[in-house]
Order: sequence, then C-alpha cells, then structure tokens
Amino acid sequence: MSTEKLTSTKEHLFSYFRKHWIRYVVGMIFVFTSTWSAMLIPRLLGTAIDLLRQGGQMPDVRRTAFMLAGAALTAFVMRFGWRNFVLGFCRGAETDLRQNLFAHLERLSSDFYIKYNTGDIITRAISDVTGIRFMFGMALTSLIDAGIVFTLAAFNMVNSAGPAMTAAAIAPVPFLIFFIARIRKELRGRQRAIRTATSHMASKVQENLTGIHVVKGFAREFYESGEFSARSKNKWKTEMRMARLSSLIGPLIQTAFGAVFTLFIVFGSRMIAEGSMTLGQFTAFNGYILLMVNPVANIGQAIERWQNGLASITRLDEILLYPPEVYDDADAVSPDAKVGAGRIELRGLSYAYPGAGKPVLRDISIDIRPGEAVAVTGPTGCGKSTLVSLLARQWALEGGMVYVDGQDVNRIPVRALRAAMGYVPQDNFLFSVSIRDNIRFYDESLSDEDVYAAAAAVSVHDSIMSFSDGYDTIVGERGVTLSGGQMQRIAIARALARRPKLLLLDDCFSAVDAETEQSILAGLRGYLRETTAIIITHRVASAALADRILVLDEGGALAELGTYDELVAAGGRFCTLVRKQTGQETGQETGREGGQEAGQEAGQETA
Amino acid sequence: MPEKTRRGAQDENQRAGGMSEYVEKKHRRTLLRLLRYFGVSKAKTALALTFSLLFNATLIAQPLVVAALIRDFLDPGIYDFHAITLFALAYIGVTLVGNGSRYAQQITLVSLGQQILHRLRTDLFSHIQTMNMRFFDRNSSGRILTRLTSDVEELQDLYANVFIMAIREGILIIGMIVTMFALDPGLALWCLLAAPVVAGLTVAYRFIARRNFIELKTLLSRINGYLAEHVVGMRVIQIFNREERKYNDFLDMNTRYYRLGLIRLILNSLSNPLIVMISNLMVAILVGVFGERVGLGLLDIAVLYTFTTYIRQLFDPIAQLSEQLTTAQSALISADRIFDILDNTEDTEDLTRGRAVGADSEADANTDVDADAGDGGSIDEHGLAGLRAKSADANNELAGLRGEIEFKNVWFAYNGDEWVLRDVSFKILPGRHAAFVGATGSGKTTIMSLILRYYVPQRGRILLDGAELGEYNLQGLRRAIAIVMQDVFLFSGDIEYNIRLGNEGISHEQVVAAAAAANCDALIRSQADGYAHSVAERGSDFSLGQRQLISFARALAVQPSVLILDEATASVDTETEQAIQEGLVKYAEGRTLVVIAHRISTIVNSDVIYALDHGRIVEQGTHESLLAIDGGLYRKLYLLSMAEAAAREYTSRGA
Repeated sequence: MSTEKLTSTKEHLFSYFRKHWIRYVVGMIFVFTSTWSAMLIPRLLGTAIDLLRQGGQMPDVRRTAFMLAGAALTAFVMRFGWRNFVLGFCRGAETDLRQNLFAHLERLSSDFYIKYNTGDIITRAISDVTGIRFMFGMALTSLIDAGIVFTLAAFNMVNSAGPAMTAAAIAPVPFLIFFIARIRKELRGRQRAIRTATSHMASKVQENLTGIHVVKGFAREFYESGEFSARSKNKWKTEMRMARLSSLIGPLIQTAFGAVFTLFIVFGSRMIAEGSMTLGQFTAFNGYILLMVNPVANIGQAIERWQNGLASITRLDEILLYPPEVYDDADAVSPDAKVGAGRIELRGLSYAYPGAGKPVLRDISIDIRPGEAVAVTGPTGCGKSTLVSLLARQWALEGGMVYVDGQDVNRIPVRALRAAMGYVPQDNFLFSVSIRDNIRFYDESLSDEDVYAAAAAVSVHDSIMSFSDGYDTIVGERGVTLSGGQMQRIAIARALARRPKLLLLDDCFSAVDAETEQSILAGLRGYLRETTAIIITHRVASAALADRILVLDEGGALAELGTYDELVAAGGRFCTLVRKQTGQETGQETGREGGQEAGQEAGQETA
Repeated sequence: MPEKTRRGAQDENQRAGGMSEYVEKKHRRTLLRLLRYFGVSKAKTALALTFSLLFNATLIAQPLVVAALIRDFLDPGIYDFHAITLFALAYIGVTLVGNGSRYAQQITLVSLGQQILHRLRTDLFSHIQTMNMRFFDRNSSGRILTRLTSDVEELQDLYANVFIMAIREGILIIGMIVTMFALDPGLALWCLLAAPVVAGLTVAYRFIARRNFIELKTLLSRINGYLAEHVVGMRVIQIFNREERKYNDFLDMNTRYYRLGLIRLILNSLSNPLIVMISNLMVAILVGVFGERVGLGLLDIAVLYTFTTYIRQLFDPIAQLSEQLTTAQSALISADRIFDILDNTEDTEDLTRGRAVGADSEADANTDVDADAGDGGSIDEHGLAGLRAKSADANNELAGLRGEIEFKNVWFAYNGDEWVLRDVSFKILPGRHAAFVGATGSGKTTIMSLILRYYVPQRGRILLDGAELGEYNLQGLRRAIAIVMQDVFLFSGDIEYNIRLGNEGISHEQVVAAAAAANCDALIRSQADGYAHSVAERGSDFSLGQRQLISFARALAVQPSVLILDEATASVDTETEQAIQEGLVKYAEGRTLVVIAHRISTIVNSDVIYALDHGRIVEQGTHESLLAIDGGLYRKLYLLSMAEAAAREYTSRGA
C-alpha cells in the first residue's frame, strides 16, 4: 500500500468495459435486431389486411402470416440474447465495482469512518452500486431502443402516410421528451426527499434497537413509537409529492398520441377516400403510433434511472475519491522492513484531530525501552486513547514526533508496523464468526495451542470451554451472547495470540473486575517477555504493575512520569489518585499483605 | 403462535426446497392477510376501483371506435366529413376521459398503498417496542432492522406496484374478454385458447424462479450484514492486517451473487418476452387461419382487426403481471417475516397494564408532568394515543415509590438450567445504599436486569415496596428506577436530548442540574454549542468516559426513586469518579441506591454490601464487618484492589 492514485467510479467502470466490451457491444447489436424485427410487425399486419380486404389469395395471406410469426420469433430470440449479454455485462460491472469499493473501504482510515455512518456506507455499497447497474443496463438500452423505434417508425410512416402526416405524428415526441425531462428534473428533488425520509426512518430504527436497553430502562417505548410514526408519516408525504407529479407522465404521453391519432382519423380517412392510402397502411400507421408509446414512456424511466445512476456515481465517488489518511510515504523504508526490538520514542508529540483547532496532546516526550511496560493514566478526555491510536497509525501524523526503533513511524510501512503490533482499542469489536477465528483472526501460522494459550493468558479459556461448542462457538446472533468482560478478553486474546513486539491496551479491562484485570496483567509479563507495552488504565493498582507510569493532565500534556514509587513519593497527581482509590489512607500494612495474596493467586492462574 | 418462531428455521428450509404445498398455502394466507390491509381506507379503495373501471372502459372503447370507423367509412370513395369529425371527437373524448381517470386512479392507489405501509410500519415498530429482552437477545438488531426497513420496503413494491397493477390489469383483462365474446364468440374462444398457455407459462416460471429469488435475497442480506459488520470492525481488520483475507471473503460472496444474478436474468428474459411473442404469434394465427372467413364473408375485417388489437392488449397486462411476480414472490417472503414478528405475542411484555408504581400510597399530589403528554404532535391515529394515555395514568404517581427491594429465593437462568443466580435473597430498605461485588460473571448485572424486570426469574419472588414486581405497570416501574449501564448508548440528537430522552417533563434547568451532578456540565459547556451540541453516531466524538457521564446525567434527570449504577464508573477516571461520588451523595439522599462497582473504594460507604460468587450471595454486611471475615471473598476483593504496591513488587520480581 503505497501512495496510490484514487480511482473514480467512472474509471472503474471504464476499465471493466475495456476487458469485457465485446459482450456489451454484441448485446447492443442484438438490441437493434430485436427492435427491428418487432417493427416489421405492423407493416406485415397492414399487408395482410389489405390482402384480405381486396379478397386476395389465401396462400399470399398465409405467407404474410408466416412472416409475421417469423418476425415475432426473431424479436423474441434477439431480445433474450441482448438481455443476457447487456444486462449480464452490467451485473458483472456491478460486482466488480462493489468489490473495488470494498477494497477501498479497507484502505480508508478512522477519519473516514467517523465522518460517514455505517448505514450510509452500506446504502452506497448496495443501492448505489445497483443503481449504476440499472443505469447502464435497462436505462441505456431503453434509450437506444427508443431511438431505433422512432427512426424505423418514421421511415415506415413516410412510406404509407407521407411526410406531412409523419411529421405531425413525430412532432409531439421532442415536446414530450422535453416535458418529461422537466418533470423528471423536479422529480429528482422529490426523490431525494423520499430517500432522506427513508434513511431518517431507518436511522431511528437502528438507533432504537441498538439502544433498546436505554429505551426500555427509561420507559421511552411510546415516545419512540411516536417519533417513528412521525418519520414514517413524513415518508408517506414525500411519496405522495412524488406520485402527484410522476403520475402525470403516462397520461401526458397517451393524450398526446391520442391527439395525433385523432388528427390521423380526419386526414387518413380522406387519403383512403382519395385512394392514396390503403386500409392496411392506415392500420399500420396506428400500429406504429402504438409502438412509440412504450419507448416514450420508457424514456421517462430510463432518464430517471440514468439520473439516479449519476447521483449514485457522485455518492460513490465521495467514498472512492476519499483519500486514505494513513498511507505509506513514497520514501517508506522498505516494503519488507520489520519492527526490531520495539523501542518507542515520542519526541515532543503534539496532535490535534483534523478540523479541530484544540490540540488533544501537547508536547509529550518519552523514551520507552524495548520490553518495558508503561501505564498511561489521566483524567477522562486527556488524550490517552489518541496517544495509542497515533502509535497504531490510526490517524495521519506529522513526521518527527513518533519513533519506533529509531525510525520515524511515518517511514515504516503501515503493514509492517501493524504486523508487529497488538492493539486493543477501547471499544473492542468481535466478528460473528467462531471464537477460534476471532482469536486466530485468520493467521494461519497460529496453532490451536497458540489460541488456547492466548485465551488462557486473559483468563477466558475456561469460560470458552464451558460453552457447548467451545472455541467453535459463534459470537453474536447466531451463537452465544458474550458478556462485556468476555468480549473484552477475547479481543485482548486476539492481540496476544500473535505475540506482538508492541502491545497497546486502551483501557480494555473496563468490563472486567479489578481482581481479574490485575491477575491478567501480572500474568502478561510472563506471556510476553520481550514485548514493549503501553497500557491505559484508570486503576492505580493496575498501573502499579507497569515499569513506569505516565500521567497526562486535562490539557493533554505530560504531568508526571516515573516509577510507581517515584510518583507516590513525589506526592503529585498520581499520589492523590492512589489515595483516593485506596480509600484515603495508604494502608501500607494491609496493602502489602493483600497484595501478596493477590499476587500468589495471579501467579497460580497463569502458571 | 408459540410454534411459530420455533418453526422459523424449518420454514427457511422448506422455502429453499421451494415446492412444498405447505409453503404454497402459507403464501396464499399471507396474500389474503396483505389484501385485508386495504380495509384501512375503504373510501380510497372504492374510489380507486371506480377510477380504474372508468379508465379500463375507455381502453376497451378506443379500439371499438376505430373498428366502427373501419367497418363503415374507410373505403375508397366514401368520405363523410361529418361522420368522420364525429368519430374524431369521440376518439379524443375517450382519450381525455381515460387519461384523466388514469391519473386520478394512480394518485388514489399510491395514497392508499402508502397509508397501508405507514400502518404496517408503525404497527410493527410499536409491536417491537413491546417485546421483552429475551426477544432482543435472540434477534440481533441487524435482523430486526431488516424487517423494518428492507422487508417493509419490499412490501412497498407490493402495494405500490403489484397490487395496483393486479387490480388495474385484472379489471382490464375481464372487460376485454367480455367485449371479445360480445363481438364474436367463436373467435373469442379461439383467442382465449392461448390464455391457459400464458397462465401455464407464468406458473411454470414462478415454480422455477422461486428458489433463485430466495437465494438471491438471502445472499444480498448476507452481503448487507457482512458489510455492516466489517464497516464497523474495519479498524480491527486494519490493525491486524487482514485486508486481503477479508477482500477474498467478500469476493466469494460477491461472485456468488453475480452468478445467481445471471440465473435470475435468464429467467426474467424468458418470462416477459415469451408472452409478448405468444401474443404476436396469436396475431399471425388470427390472420393466417381466420383470414379465410373474411374472404367468405363470415367475418368482418373490422372485427378481425379489433381482435388483433385486443390480443396484444390482453397479453400485455398478463406479461406485465408476470414481470411483477418477481417482486410479489420476494415480497411475500418479506411479509411472512413481518407477520412472524407481529404474531409473536409470546415474547411481548405488557407495558401499560398493572398497578401504578406507588399507587397504594394514594393518588399522589405530586403530579409529575407526564413525560409523553407533551410530545403528542406526532401521535398516530391508530391506538398509539390510547396506549399513551393509559401509560400516562399509570405514571403520574411514580414519585410515590418508597424504594424497598426484596429478592426471595430467586433463581434465574438465561437459557435452560445454566443458573446465573442461585437462590438469591436480600432486602434493601428504602433510601439505603446497597452494593454488589463479585468476580466477572458472578451475576451482578443479572440482578439489576431482574429489578428492572427485563427478565422474569424462573423461581422465587421479587418484591418492590412489598408487592410483587410483576404487578406493577412496567413503564411506571422503569421510570421510577433509573439505571446507568456498563455499555453506554447515546442517541443521535443533541446532548440535551440525550439527557432528557424526549421527556418533556424534564425542564432545561433540571437537565443542567443533572449534568452538573454528573460532573459533565463543564464538559458540555466546553462544546461550541453547549447543550445543543449534536452527538455523532453513537457518540463516537466523545470518549467512553465522557459518554458515561452523559448517560449518568440522563439517569439523574428523571429523579428516580431507585438509582442503579451498573459498573457505571468503570470507564471514567478516578478523579471524575470521585467527583461523581460527591454529586451522588447529594443526589442519592433519600433514594435507594444500588451499585455494582469494580473499584471497591467507591462502595466502602454503602449501608450494605453483598458479595456474589457464581450466582450466590456468600457474604453480606457493611464494609467493616465484611473486611473482618478472615479469608472472606469481600476481603480478598478489597485487598486485591488495595494492594497495588505489594502486587507490583511481587510481579516485578516474578517477571
């Protein structure tokens, strides 16, 4: 993953077309043949009627009937052909585009995922990609089909009814198309209103379901129903606004062509009376008018789909052209560079989130030795999480502030850095696959024993074994509902299993009780002997297990740094924290005694 | 009904098998049920039918006008200007009336369809609101979301297109057949011979296509779910460098979707074009076979011509309908899923019935302005208002709760006999502060869920103010008891909304006071727009600790009689926690407080502490008394949390 060019929707589509154009072009030829055959039918029927009225020979009539049947068959076969070729091509392009979109989503960083919500991204990946299929499938073929129908109809009409009547018959077409285009343009706005109303409704549902505990806990059920009902009603309204206008289109076309045929009744009957037109030509004319109705109507839908498609392209481009914030600089060390001993240096690290003026972290410097464990603590919102997420390169960072093994992190390939890293974010996330797959996380080099060892290291092995399917238990809706503590520990096991050189734990024991947390942390030192660790915690007892403790202040600056003893002796923030958490007095005597108890237990558990 | 949900999986299989008679019957039942929804507006239904009849009558009349013209006037030498003008006027008149009624019909049908959908959606949503926690445990939010969005959307197609078309084209087909018989019964009979062929093809098409539709739909929802999961978990994928693996997984799914799509394409390109071809072949047969009768003077050419027009107009609606069947099939499946939820009465909880909280302390003078009375603007016409009114009655007296909680030999398991609570008994007196401690999984959170009646215990009794918990009105109960949970949830909307949760009974001042007590007033004011600061999706712009503070304020704002803190301060730093503690002392005065905490330091001042071990209360008493138990669980937990210094020494030597 180096600095790569962003590829727009159109470029993706074009590159697919370059590979598979034959399918599309041959399909388009079939479109022509199919329409052409269908357009023969009114003329053949006219011929037959003339033959019959003139008391013609039955063999002649039968020959015409056979030609009629032949035209019908050809139109069918060709239609089957083009649908498969053209629409099949479009389905292929759809698949290709969706896959490319997914690939791009995999490249995008945190800033993107904060800006766009999940529902929005999924709508784009599903509906908008499908919208593009419609655009180049039915929409485009309808437009081409319409062009062929108008041309052939005009040609046939001139032959039977003369140029004047043909001009009169074709004359409404441009006006109709113009009017329909105007209507569709207005409809686009109304369509957008429907979409907004729909997603407004969906987001209410999503939120209600995710927060159902809160809804129920605060007895907000009926309020929520009312909210939803208002949004649902709003959708109904927007749909009506749409229908009132869009329903005009069909009647408009029919009335226009009805007027044309009315005119033709007057002039056509005179031409028949004068003998310049046969009855067959009269009916054929009617037939061509009827054949024009559908394409004109379809143009409406085609234009709508086309415009929706254009909107979809814009919406997809918003994602596809969104640059990954974190990428490898062109001068990144080398693609196969590895993290070595695992020394982490922060040199005057300051950071403000993109778009936010106020820095979250201010001028933090620390040199963490390979294998050292540093606890980070500080008040809520002081930037602890930001600190570790920057180390994991979740956000782009200016050069010269964060170094790993003496290398600026920006010069280490992202993959290499992350390969050496075990990072457990605050809000952990498990996938709905088996627990085994969640921990191994598709690393083929990890054996089952590695997985079990990692789970044991966070004291979750026994809980897992107590499920009837053990490690093959599926997480989530199809399997067991895990407790918060179990989920957190499985997420940590996932990071531990790969035996990382750098371990970043972002307050990931919040749902685990203190006893378990401390015994796990104590055991971790044995599990990962040469791992450099940064552990964010609120618990002084946990912080005490680290080699050094880094205390941040409210403004995101370094307040204190040192060993537990040093900080307690200094009597600063950390010391106050210790006093508060241990219940005012330090209680040296009991403390020491209890600690040994706990320590022994911890030792036993991890042994 | 009870077997309904259990039968779900079986249904899925049977549908996949596709051909069983059972499914066919079920579909028919579903269809009938869907049709009954037209009853929501009988006036609109009647109006739509009337316009439809009028419109279709003009469609049938138009060819007849042309036929009369052909029969009597279109011959060389005959030119009756007056008669022709009359015909022209008749034709344009029919056209205008037809298109006018077509527009009116369309609008009425859309309005009707939308009204039905609105009804279905709100029914479904309201019903889901009354489901109990077991339901939500069993059904992921993703699955329920699909019911309410894509499945209802699927029905939108059904009501907006399929049913409308069925009504419209159905009337047309019948009208046309009648007219054809009136014109020439023999010819009509011949033409109708093709009808079974068309109908047969349609049925065959349905038969073959069904399986494909189900597969395609299931796969699409899987892709949808896969995307949802991976968008949310993308950070994890990136951290672990698993992009390629996930890319390939997605590719497999995507490719399968493509293949299924191609099959669907083939089926679709056979169905409609085939019917168009048949109608054209029928025209050819009419001419080739019945042309002879014209020569013999047995058949008027105008009638023959009219029949060629009608045949196309007859098969066109059939073709249209067959095209729409695609939608109908998948819509029926969606409808089944929706009805499965609507019919699920086994997992509902009755929110409105039951005694009002604190009712036995007489009608309370403190008429706490009811929460929902103020948001009436959006109330729907069907029943919601009534439900709310009922719940309003039940809630007016919530301040009357004393807050005495008693568990008597409570046993509880989430599934089967995996007991989470075993014979738990305790009694918390009104206004007392109680705490529960214990290792992860010892059942602390379950106790809180039981107090809120999220679940009902299998054995034993839970009493509130001396009365069975089950007797209380659920909403009233949950309003009187506020909980701050381990996993915080923020709604989209501004901060004030998140504290008030739309409860108009809480004033801005009360919101601010609650925020101040929860120690987040300063945090909120530091946002550019203060309390009006809108929260990003699930509060992702706040840290977990900050979110926790806001949810804390939310609980304080309702002025509960009982306040439950379920590891509520787990993710705030110690100093903030300390500040909360101070606010809490003032706030919890006279209220029953139940706390679960990791950090023992936060609960040492509780009136009573219960130590839980594997679902049993093993110790209870005050901090001092419990600490005095040698080798006791509480002592162990306490000492562990206190013992950082020694633990550090020990492990640094050990490592």
